[in-house]
Amino acid sequence: MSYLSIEFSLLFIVFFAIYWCIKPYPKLQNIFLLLASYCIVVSYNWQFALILFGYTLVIYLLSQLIFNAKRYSKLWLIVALCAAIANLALFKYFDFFRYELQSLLNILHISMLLPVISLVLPIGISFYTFHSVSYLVSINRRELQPVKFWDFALFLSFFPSIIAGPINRAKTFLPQITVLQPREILEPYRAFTLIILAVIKVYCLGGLLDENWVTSLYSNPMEYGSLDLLFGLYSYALLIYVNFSGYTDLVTGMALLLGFRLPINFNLPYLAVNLRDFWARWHISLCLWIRDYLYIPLGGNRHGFIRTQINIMIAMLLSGLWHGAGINFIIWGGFHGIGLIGLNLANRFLGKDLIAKRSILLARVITIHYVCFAWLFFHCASFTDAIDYLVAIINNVTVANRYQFETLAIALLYFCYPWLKNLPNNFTKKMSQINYLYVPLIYILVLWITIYFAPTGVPNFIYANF
Amino acid sequence: MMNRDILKKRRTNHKVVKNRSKHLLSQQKYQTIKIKSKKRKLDNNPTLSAKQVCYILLFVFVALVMIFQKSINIYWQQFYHIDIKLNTVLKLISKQFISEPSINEPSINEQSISESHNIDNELVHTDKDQIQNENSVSLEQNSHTKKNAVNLPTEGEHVAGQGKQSNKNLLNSDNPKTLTQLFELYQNKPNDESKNGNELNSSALGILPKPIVLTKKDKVLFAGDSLMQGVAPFVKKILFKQYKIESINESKQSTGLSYPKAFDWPKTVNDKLTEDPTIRLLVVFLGPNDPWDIPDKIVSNKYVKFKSSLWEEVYRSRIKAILDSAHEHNVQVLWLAPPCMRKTKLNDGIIYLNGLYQSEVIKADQHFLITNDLLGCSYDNFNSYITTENRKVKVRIDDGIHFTVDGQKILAKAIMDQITINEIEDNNSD
Repeated sequence: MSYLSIEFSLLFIVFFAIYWCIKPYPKLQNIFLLLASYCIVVSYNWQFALILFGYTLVIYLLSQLIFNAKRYSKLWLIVALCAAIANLALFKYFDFFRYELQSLLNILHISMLLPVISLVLPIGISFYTFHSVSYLVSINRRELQPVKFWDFALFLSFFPSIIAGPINRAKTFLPQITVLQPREILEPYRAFTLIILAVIKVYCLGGLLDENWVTSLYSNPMEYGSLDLLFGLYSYALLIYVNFSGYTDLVTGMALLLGFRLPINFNLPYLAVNLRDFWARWHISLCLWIRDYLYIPLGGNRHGFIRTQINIMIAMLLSGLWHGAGINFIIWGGFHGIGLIGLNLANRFLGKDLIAKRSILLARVITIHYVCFAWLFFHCASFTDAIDYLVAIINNVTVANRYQFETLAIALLYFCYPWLKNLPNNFTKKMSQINYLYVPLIYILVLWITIYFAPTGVPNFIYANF
Repeated sequence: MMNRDILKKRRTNHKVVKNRSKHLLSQQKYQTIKIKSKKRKLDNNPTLSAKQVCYILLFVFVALVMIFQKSINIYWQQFYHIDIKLNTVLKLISKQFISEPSINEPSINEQSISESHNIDNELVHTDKDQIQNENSVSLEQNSHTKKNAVNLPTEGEHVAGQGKQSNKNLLNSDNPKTLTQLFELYQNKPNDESKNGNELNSSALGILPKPIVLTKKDKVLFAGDSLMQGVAPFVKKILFKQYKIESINESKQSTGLSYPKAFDWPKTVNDKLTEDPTIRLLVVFLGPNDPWDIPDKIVSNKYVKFKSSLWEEVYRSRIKAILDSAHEHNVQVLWLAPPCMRKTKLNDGIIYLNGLYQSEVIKADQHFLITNDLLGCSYDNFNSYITTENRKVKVRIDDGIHFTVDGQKILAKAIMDQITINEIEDNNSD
């Protein structure tokens, strides 16, 4: 069930009303939240709920063993991490590697058919696996006391963040679940702004971009001129941003209305002045997770310059693979890895922030182009598709362009963006100064205009597939 | 000594008292600051009670539903295959909210009932118009439709009871065997459909469809649902990469022929063909969104039951409308049969729909492409994988409806196999 559908909106309002009727009993609220979360999972497929529950049970038992073991807690941690990774690998990567392995066998002329297990990727598996890892590590470090099973189950299945994040940390999120004092609605006006922003971003902007330009440009790049294809790169970059950040806004808003605070995931990523800056602004919760649970355990930057670069490359490649089992995601991760290493080399040998010091605008433009170029591999279904697109950009210089106006518009939008960034906050502030009785009228007006211009149909959340 | 000690003690006591009072003062200060900051915080982050938030949420939701009730009703029909009386429900809700004590007011119910009557009448009217426009049915035919609709439930049950068997009472099969044989010859493939009992019925016979020949100047139009959305890009790419032939992909997810209010394919196809006279080939691929009851309120509020005679009549007329506009614009049609589906109910529906597509397409002397064999499955046996040589390739994704990239490529190649490209310009097949 999509969080932007009218069915969900109605159910959410009903849920909200009941949830706050039992305000004095946070424990009861938790049970209610847990039930609702599992209902959401079941709405996709009842087997997903079963898998999630089984996974929760196993990881919880292992976390208890980690906590209670006097000498071998690290060993149990390794077992638990292996279990978590194995579960993810089975559902997410088995089919991919079976395919690759089978090709390898065919090349080696070994006539053997690998077993075909038709597995359906359970919704949110990448996200709840990461949630659980943060819990296991925190228990091992004794940063956190083990919580009750049902609280842990809610931590993994909490419906605003199960579909596509943001990735929660046990250390900051579990205390919000285990509260004894009654919860309060947090920053309601900000929550409303976030929800409206999500509708504008995902439903209207994302829908329009996808329907009018991205799909057609990417489905047959050879028909279009070079400028159009460049516009295609920008529009996909914009699409994935509005789709994913819109989704994050929506769930953050929902969580605030339920009295929970989710981690920040985006901070104007396309205003980054270099690639490292980009990763501090894009999918922040994933980036921090990879830093804390992958990059630093690998050694981080403590073992010299070359080891640091290798660690960066491994982290980025795995981050690519996390997005999906496909060679293109790995290439995408690789591109970012190479970019980051290049940046480190430039910083070391040419001086720190060479370009950004001279012109911030130039630094931003270079960064966004590198990022857009990498998105091409992220979006295309296969490597040859991406190459076709690149070849078309180079070859089709003479082909007439159809989207000059749109290219100009998107460029203009980019340069106006720094001024627009404060708009949502100002809107929130203004709304909070009005008598609450009249607030809905303004919301209705904004949403009316948005939905009027949006294409029909409920758009998909791109990241829900990962 | 004693005095000194006493003095010392006094001094220290004094100090302690001083410190204490200092401490108390600082505590007081701290508390006042805390209160101030709390106040400030409140000013910066004004909160709302749950009731107030609920009011805002509900108000916005109800208002938006009222504003967009038309689109929501269409959406509801498409996905749940039932109508919602939004107007009636909303009126009731809003009345209750505006005047809370008057829940038992009898006038509301009466009013809403009379209003719902009005809506129904309105709908009946528009539906009638629509059907008249669509099918260009004469008045006589319309009365005939009414007759059918009156007997609809029993007939529907009757048809449903027959299951996969052909609807003999609905089809006036003149020469089904010869046609099937001819068709099999033409397709050069075993025909699954005939085995399943979907015998063809058509009076038009004899001439095989003209082979599809395109030149560089010609264009191809793709029409269909999400199945086509997956396949069309690959055909587009091959057409352009290899032959520089341009094509238009109009496919749209969740569309079909059952709900013209949501998306009207006959009209869209006609518009596109009129707009661009260089289109020479229309490729159609749809069906999975269609095997449901369709809204029709000519006689009663009931839906026209899927597989009933009226349903078939309406549906056939829509297929025919597409084929007719293609014929008018001198455009050839390649109609793809939707393949086997994992869900039994959907699969049964698809078998039935394919019977309709096949007979109408052949009647119009156009091309019909069966896709089951290409995807390694039959209507009796769903399979996500196709085995070629020593390799197993997954062609269907996990929903049991859509295709994987490999599946899409296979279908794209099959479409290309049906097309001959005449590389010499200005040398049309006719």
